Amino acid sequence: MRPSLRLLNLEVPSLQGSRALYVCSGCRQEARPRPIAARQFLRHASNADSLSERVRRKIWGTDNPPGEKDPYGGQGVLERKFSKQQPPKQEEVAEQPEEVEDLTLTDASYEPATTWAGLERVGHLNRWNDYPRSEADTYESFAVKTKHNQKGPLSLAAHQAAVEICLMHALNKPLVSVCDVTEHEKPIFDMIYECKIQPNGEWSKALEYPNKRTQDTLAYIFEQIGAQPAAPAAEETAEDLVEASELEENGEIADEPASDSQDAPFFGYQDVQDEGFLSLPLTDAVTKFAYLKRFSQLSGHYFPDPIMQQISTVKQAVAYAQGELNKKPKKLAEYLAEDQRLLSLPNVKIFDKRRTTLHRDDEMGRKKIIEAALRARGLL
Amino acid sequence: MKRLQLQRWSGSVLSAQARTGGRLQQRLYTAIRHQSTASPAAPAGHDQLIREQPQAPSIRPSRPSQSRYNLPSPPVEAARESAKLASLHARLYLPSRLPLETLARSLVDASADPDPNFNNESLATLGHDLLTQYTSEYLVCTYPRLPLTVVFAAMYAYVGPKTLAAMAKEWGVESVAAPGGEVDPGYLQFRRLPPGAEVNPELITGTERPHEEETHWRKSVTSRVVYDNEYGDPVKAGVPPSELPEREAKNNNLGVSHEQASSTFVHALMGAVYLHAGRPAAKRFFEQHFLSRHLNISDLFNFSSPARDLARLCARENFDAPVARIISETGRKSRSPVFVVGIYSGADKLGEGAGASLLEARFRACVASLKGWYLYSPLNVRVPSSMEEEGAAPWKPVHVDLGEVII
Amino acid sequence: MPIQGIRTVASARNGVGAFILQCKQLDFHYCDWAGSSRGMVAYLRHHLHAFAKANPQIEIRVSPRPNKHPVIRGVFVNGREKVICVRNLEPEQIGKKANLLREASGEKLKRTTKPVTSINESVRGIWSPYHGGLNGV
Repeated sequence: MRPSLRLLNLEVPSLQGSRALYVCSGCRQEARPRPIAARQFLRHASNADSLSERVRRKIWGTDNPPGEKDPYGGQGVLERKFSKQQPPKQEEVAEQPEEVEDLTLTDASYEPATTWAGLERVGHLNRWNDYPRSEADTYESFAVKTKHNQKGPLSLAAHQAAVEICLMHALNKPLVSVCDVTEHEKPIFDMIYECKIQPNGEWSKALEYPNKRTQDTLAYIFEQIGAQPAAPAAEETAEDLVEASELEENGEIADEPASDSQDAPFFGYQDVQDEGFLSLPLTDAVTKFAYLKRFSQLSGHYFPDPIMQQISTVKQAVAYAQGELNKKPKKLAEYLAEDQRLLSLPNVKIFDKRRTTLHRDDEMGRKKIIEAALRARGLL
Repeated sequence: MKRLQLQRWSGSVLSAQARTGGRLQQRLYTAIRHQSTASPAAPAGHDQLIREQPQAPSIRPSRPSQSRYNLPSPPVEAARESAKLASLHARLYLPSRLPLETLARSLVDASADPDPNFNNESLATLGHDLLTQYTSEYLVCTYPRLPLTVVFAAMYAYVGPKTLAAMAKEWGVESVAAPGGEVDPGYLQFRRLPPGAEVNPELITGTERPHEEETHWRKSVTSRVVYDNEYGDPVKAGVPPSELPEREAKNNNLGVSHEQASSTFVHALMGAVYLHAGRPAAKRFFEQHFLSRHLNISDLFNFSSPARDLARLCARENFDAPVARIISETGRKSRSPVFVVGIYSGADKLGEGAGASLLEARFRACVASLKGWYLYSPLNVRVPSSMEEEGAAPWKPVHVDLGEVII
Repeated sequence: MPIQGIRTVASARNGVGAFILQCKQLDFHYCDWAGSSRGMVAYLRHHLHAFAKANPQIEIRVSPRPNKHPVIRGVFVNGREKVICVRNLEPEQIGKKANLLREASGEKLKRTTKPVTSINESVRGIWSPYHGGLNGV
């Protein structure tokens, strides 16, 4: 509140009584309530009869003075407009209750709606955004919803992508089709997790399975991925098979991850077993594209074109996702605060925030005086 | 002043263990100064008095930095963080043996922190004595015939409070708005006088001078040596140790003027340099910062009747009576005449002066001849304190004069 | 009272005994984001420590001043301030500006026409209207 206004509020009640404090004449004039005599001449829309009518009555001394109603030009434009509209309205108001009664009589099952949900939409122009949401309208992200930034999940994603691309290479299938299945079921992921990659430089021969069974299962599953129509059913059967066998064979491995593995990304796994996938080359354009697409799908990171040009190994892709390639620039204050040459000098002081007058006041001991004065006035 | 005593005091200042109490020292100091010769019994008395004092808690309990607002002055560890303090240390070319903590302590006035372990009162007492000693021996040895009133004025000009305040300003020492634990230790910390307070009370009462209430009695210059301070101003009598707490409690609420706080700081810094870096460093500091200032001693004289003084002087020194003679003149009848008058004692010309009238010229000539006498300065002056150094040349007595003319 | 002393204050002669550097504080302000601070940031990174080490008697404060041009602010013993804007300058140029502030006395710039200034009074004396011409009055 501005001080002048506040002063006025304080002063106005006391104006009639004692005038102990001074209020300037202009403010006093503004604040004083309007005299009643002046108010009488105001024209309000709600007034039943106009000013001229009242004057005429007073002059003639009767309630029905003779002559024209308003000798000075009659009604105004607005008044004329209102007087035209009003009579039919009054008639409507009078008629309406009967109609409503008729309605209630005819339809007994009528229930007044409390919300708009379920009501028929009328009056639209058949545009797309006038229709209710259909299945085609729901948006599903290509990548995972959460973007991974930690080293563990990123390595897991990179490893999974590498294993899958290796498998597709080995099966001679279109590489990009691995992206059709965003997330695998847990048993399949377990098998992918246990696969190792030899850093020998060839995608088709790099994969190393823990056992023959895994190899067969994975090959079977990834055979299905390319064949679109039959895929879901086949996959389900395969999963059932695998699940059963997994539970029988190594239950403890399945139990190993955290209990809330359904919600956690990568089923609660923290980090990869081997780092062999890091040395895989991304020189072949098709492989590179497929790998980066799958990796960005799993990790949630987007690879811009210039970065994609720079990347030539899996390691670089992971490094980019970890933010090592183009790091956020460090603040100068942080840099200087670590500089030993400056720290050893006693006459140098480095601040990481802007210095304001308040800091200076605190340094000179003035701040506590200001605060005390503000407190004493109740302003703090 | 004897060197031994200073060293003994220095121990108490350095350790901050034994509470000596600044005012006590002032009391001791005034007591010693009043004796014409330093008595050998004085040190023993010191020790007794020091031991009688109750032992204060050695170090304040360390508190978190949150409660710095509760402290009267910044904590000791804040001195290392302050860039202002470090730059002040370097700007004054202080010896590296003088730590920043002591420099920070010398910036805390007694009005900001009444605790004698953390304010500069004890350092200031020491520094005040050193400054007074060095300045007075320099003046007396360099100008042995200087009248006492002029010596007082010269002392005031060299180490008076106004000069020290100007010096602190020239050193770039800023002062705080209000003392407290949160302020930067590089500022001069003192409690300011409330607005409208009397800065220089006209009449100082409570001195040691007898019959001080008789204001119209003549005060001889010699009595000012005994009863007054080094500038010839009346000074308050010392307080016996038993009354110290009451006096301190009374003084706690009062502030000090900026001039007084600045001069206390300069005194304290001098004491700190002496304590930490030793006597040679203190003397160097004194020469560099105090003696290097420009003071024209011949401007400090104010003669009322130089002709009479000169006549008395010649009579005392068995010279012939002084005679004023016109040496030359020009334009006697013009608007601006100039007379050159010489004062002769027998065949010797004592001095000459030029003026627009004969009287003025004679006055100036008398002043010139008197200044010629009073401002005599022997060559190759050595001060007594130079004998304190190791391997000093054997002492040759300096010129001691009869003193000024007494009318 | 034959002679009285006149109280004065001994005037300072900076440099005769000790030399007090007149610049007591230098504030370096920069902006982390803006391009006009690029030279200042480089100066603070690579050259500040040498400058600070060579001038221990100057208190150096480095603080950001976001969305503003970089500035060097010098505070002097006589209480005055001098501020130099160093936008878009190279580190070497900024070093020169800092040195300029270091060597300044803090006074306003003024033209010196006399080759020598002295605190000693003139030998001729100062003309006075009250001395001389007394006969005519």
